[in-house]
Amino acid sequence: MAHFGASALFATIILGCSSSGAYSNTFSALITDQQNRPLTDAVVELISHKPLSDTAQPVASVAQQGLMFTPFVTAVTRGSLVDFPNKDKTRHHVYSFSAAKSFEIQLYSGKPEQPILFDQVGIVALGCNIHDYMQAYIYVGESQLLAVTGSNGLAEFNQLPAGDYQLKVWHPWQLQAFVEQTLALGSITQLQFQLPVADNVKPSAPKRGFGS
Amino acid sequence: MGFKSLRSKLIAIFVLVLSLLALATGLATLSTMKRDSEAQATEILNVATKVLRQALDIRAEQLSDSVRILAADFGFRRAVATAEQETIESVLQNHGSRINASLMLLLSPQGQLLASSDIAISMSDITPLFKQTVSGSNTTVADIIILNGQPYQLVLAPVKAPALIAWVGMGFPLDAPLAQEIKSITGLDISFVTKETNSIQLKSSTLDPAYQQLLPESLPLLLQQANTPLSNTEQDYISVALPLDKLQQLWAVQHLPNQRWLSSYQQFRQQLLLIFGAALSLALLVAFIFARSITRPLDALSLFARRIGQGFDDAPPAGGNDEIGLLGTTLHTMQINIRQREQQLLYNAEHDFLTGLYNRAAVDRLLPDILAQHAGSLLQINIQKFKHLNDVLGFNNADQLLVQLVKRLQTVLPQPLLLARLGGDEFLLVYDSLLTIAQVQGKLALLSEHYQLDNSVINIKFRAGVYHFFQSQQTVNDALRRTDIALDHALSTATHIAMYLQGQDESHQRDLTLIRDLPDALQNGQFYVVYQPKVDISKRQCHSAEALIRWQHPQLGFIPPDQFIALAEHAGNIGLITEWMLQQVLCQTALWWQQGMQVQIAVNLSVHDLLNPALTDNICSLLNQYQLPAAALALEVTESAIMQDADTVVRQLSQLRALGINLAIDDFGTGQSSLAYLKQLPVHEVKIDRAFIKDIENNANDALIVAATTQLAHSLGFSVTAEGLENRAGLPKLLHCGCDKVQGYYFAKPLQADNFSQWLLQFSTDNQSWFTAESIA
Repeated sequence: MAHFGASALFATIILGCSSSGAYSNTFSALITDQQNRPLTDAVVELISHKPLSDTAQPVASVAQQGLMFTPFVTAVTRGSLVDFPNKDKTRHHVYSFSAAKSFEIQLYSGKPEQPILFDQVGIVALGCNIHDYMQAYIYVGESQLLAVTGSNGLAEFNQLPAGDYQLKVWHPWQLQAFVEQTLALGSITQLQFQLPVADNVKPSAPKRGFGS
Repeated sequence: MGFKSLRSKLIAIFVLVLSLLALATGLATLSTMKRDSEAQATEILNVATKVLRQALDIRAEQLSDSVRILAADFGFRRAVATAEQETIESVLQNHGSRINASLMLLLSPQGQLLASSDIAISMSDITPLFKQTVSGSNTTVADIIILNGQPYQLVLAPVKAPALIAWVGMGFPLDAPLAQEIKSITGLDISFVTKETNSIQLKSSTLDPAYQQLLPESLPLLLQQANTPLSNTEQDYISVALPLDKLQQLWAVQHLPNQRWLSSYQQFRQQLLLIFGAALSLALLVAFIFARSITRPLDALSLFARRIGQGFDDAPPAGGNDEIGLLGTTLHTMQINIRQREQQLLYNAEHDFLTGLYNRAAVDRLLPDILAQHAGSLLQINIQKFKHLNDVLGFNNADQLLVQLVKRLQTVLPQPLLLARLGGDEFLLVYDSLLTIAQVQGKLALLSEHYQLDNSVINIKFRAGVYHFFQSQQTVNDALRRTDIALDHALSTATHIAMYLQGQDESHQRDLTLIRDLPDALQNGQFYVVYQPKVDISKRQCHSAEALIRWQHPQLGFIPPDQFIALAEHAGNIGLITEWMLQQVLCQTALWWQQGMQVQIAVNLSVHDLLNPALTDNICSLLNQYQLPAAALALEVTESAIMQDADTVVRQLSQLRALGINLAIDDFGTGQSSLAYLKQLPVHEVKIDRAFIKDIENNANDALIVAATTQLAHSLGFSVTAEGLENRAGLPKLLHCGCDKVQGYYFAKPLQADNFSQWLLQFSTDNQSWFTAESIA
């Protein structure tokens, strides 16, 4: 809780500074872990209070490459299609039993016949039935304003219309659910948020025992 | 109860020592063996405990692997992901049965119980195990827990899709088949026991049902002392308890049967007993033989010693060089010493110390054989007046004299069969020939003269008694007594040698009988008193009499007074007779005096009586007792009695005279009385002996003597009594001689009291007839 309180206070100061600045349509959120280290693979979603015009979403892709899902975390808007191209020599059996989307692409290679439609908001945990260690997550948000932090911990949004937004932050290893926040964007260009996470290591392909 | 014999003591000690030794060895061995067995059992159980733990760990790992694989099953995961209760329950059932789980659970990632094959199981049962998963990163955990009272090995494995979507739990019971399986590994029986709060329950066991029933008794202690092997009460199992879960609710108890080592222990004990028994028997035998080897010679020695004690001359028992042999030798030496001392004692006992001759004891021993085998003579010789010689020569010289005499006796031929010294100066010689007086005289002549003593020459005189004995006719006592009688008689012979004559011994025996019987006869009324009147011939009156004693012996008949009085004087018994006589006479006299017969009765006294200082007092008190005047009593003493100790007798007589008693000298004229004494004697009367009276009418000499004596007596102031007048013819002579009184058969023989009083009455009425003229003419 202390971490959380501190982050809120910090956010207020940045807001104060930005109120005297000029209008900007760019917003970046810095997500750190409980030790203020930039947090990779965190999903930041901004939900506008005013309905935005639906724009067709490009087909996202979660590839299997080097016996790993890439990227580890993908954020898509509800109703998006996601492709699961297999770039490995081995076949994969991608599945999800998550409530948001339960599906299964049985052993395949190359590109599956059809992308998968994610039409429910939620977290979808992806796995491969023949490679138990392979993990990936797809964050299905209701807004189109979704970003995943890179290694610098920054999620950047451009050309945002001014207005109030609901802010959500999620990370697969988060220890608690992030408390949603309402932001009045316009003057604010950057905010920093802390999200405590478990000290996990991103799954990686084990050394192969068959000489490949 | 003690052991009396040495043998039983030895055996007892032997057996005791052996028993103690065997017991100590046996106990030490058995206890070591028992300790070893117990240590071994403990070791076995410790190993078994480790094996059991490892077996359970391996099983947990295997089960964990199974459950993990199960949890990774895609179908399973997909079914779980459906979140449909029915689907989940059936997939649990289905997949659980694949790995033979008997309990299946599904928990939410947060630990809520989502599904369970056993509806009785609640969250709280699982929570302790679930807590173990939180710390780890979604790894499988396994533990043993008790669910619904049943012990399980429960494995919790995460279900990932690929994120954690649930925990699946599979339970495998710790039941009898598992127990059997473990038993097949450890080789030991095992029981599973649950302990919840205070109740301990046996869940399953590989033990025999019979033992299972006994098990609960020992469980509390076993569980209390975990990991410590303990024997049960029946000692047939050693058990150790091992807690299997962290809460210590489930225990495995492993059992090692005692039977295995117990039987070998018992077998060994049996063998020990057998060995001990055999050793004991052997020891008994050895002890017996050993003890006998000691006690047998001891018994022989004991017998030998007893025989020595009894005087036998046995050879000593053969002995070795050991202590017993030494004892035997010592005993033998002792036997020889005893024999020597005995012979010395015997010699001393039978020999005279001074002369070396046989003594009386030897005579008693040796003489019977001689008497039995020979006819011959016993010669007993006696030195005359040896006492006098002793006084003159001194004891030393007298002894020298005896020694010299003995030397001569030994040279006198022929050699006697036996030569012995019977007493001080008495010697006995035994010959196998019949000696004559002359032969004896010849021998004594050789012995009498020329003894050289202190530079002076001594001659001695002997008296000798000879007794001829004939083979087997007499005992030693008889022979010696007869010889002695002969020796007594020798005194009165001219040669001082006397031969024993037939009959002497018999009269001797009779005398002994009389002496022996006399005291009793006085009490038994065998004695009585007779009275002979003493007649005053001048006045023709009678007022006095002499009391005489008579003895009618029941066997020997009438005993003449001179015989028994002489014997009594000889034996010193005369005092008794006098005392009795005075009693009787004074008693009778007192009667007569009471009847008016004032007679004076004379009693005879012996010299023995006169020498008794108490005589006067006794008479005085008797007179007083019978209230008689002294004039009633007269006393007569013989001349010879007075002469023995004239002074004393005269003094005594003077006292009696002073009392007023009439005193007379009896038997006057026969003794060797001196007229000088007569003059001094304080007597009233002289009694002339019958020897001068009885024939006075025919013998003029007698008449002369009587006349002269009477005259002499009268002139000295004595009255005269004539004793023994037998015929009337003598009476005128006596009257003529001047005698005062006459006593004799002419007037009366001695009469018993009644007859005497009658006679007296008759005499007083008709005294003239005794003195009629024709009688005097």
